[in-house]
Amino acid sequence: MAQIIVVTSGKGGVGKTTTSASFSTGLALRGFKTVVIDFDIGLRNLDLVMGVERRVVYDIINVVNGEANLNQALIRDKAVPNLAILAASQTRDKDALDKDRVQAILEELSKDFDYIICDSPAGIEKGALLAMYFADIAVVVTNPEVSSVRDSDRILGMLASRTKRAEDGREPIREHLVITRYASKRAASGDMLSLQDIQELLGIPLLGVIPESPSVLTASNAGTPVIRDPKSNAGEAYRQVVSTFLGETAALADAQKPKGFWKRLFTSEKEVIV
Amino acid sequence: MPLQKSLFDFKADFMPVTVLHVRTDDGEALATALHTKIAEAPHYFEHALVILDITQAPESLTDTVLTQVQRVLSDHQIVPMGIRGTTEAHTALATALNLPCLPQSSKPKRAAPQTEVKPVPPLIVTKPIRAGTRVYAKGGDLVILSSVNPGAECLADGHIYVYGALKGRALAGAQGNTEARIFCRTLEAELLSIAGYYLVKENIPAHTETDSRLHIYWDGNQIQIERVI
Repeated sequence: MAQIIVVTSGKGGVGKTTTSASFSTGLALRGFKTVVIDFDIGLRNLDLVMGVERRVVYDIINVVNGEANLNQALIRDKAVPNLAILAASQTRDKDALDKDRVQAILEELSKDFDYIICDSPAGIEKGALLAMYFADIAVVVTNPEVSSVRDSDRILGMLASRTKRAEDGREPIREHLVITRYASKRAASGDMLSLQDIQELLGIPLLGVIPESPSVLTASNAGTPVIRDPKSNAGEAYRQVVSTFLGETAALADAQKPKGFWKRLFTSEKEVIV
Repeated sequence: MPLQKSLFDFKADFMPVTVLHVRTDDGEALATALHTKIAEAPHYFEHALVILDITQAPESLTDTVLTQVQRVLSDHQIVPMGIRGTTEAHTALATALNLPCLPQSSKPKRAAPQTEVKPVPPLIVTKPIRAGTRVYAKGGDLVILSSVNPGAECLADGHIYVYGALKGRALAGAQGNTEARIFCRTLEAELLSIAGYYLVKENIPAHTETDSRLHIYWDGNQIQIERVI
């Protein structure tokens, strides 16, 4: 049985798709058979970020309507052997999906894959609810900004009440936090919320902090998930997120704190920054 | 044939009736006492319908006594409509007075008020109350061991205790209990309300120190926010 992971946030533009792309690529690179599904019906983005937009023939709506089977619709990533992508439809809207049909697809994927990543659309409407409904694990993506944190809080409330696990009274969804677009300097000066503020409010375990980095945009435009960029600090942070998720390392949020002048003076530059 | 309205209707109705309990067989004393009583509020008894109840009267009650009563009543335009509580020995009285014998009132006795009110146990919440969520402790207190996040709402008919940060809305005494209070450790609430009297965020002084230990109550005039010593 596959683990179903929803990548969600409430607010748009915080990095759900970037995180879905890098997180699924990271899991696949570690040898897990991983499929990532774009639930943002009508606004197809994931295939672009993952560089497969030219290979999309069938999408999730075609599968739902029986116009194609899953094998025809799944796009195998050429560079990462264990990774497959199920694209969203650009011409349909979210009403084309419903719980039963999503469940059928997830059950079928469950037979062949270790992880199913559901890239949620923004908002708290039907599309977002469907993406989270069958999840076992949630990765909540948040920016260090008041409105983003509040929306994530709202999503966490829904994860605890509007999902199948909650309705069945089973063990609740495992919740993880990924903070993206973090600039430690701006957090220190008070322009951004600090890690401590965010964690205090959301109160869920932190998987990692992705620094604000131009390499994220470059990677998106190139269609290569940033996790595959060996030089990018954001890519390194995503690799760290994956190993924290797999239980290999603990999230080291402290290392993100900017060093003071004296500390910088007295510590070696070789210190590992994670 | 055109539909014709029936010429009359019999319908049950209820109306208040005064009952005169007779407790003595001393006709003279009774007549005097009645006069005095009615004289206190003569208009109140005018044309009133009265039932004579002799349940508490001694066995020795005679029709003479009741005739005396009847006379006093008619002097004040009070209309006796029947006699009640007659035993075997007294049935003759009713006939003598030419009044119908009425049965005892069939009104069900009201159940004695429950002396023991079962206390409602407090509602205890261990997880944070998140934006868009509302928790209501109906009839009792609300104990929150975590925080009330911005955009969340907690309500209780009794007191509210928050051991985490209070950043959302807190409404104690939701059904109007002005004695209800809110207790919290840090205060950054969006709204505070006691029994419907409220303060919004711009009028709430923030207490962000980790252990401010505050209690918030209604002093009959305004909401007070004070530090617990």
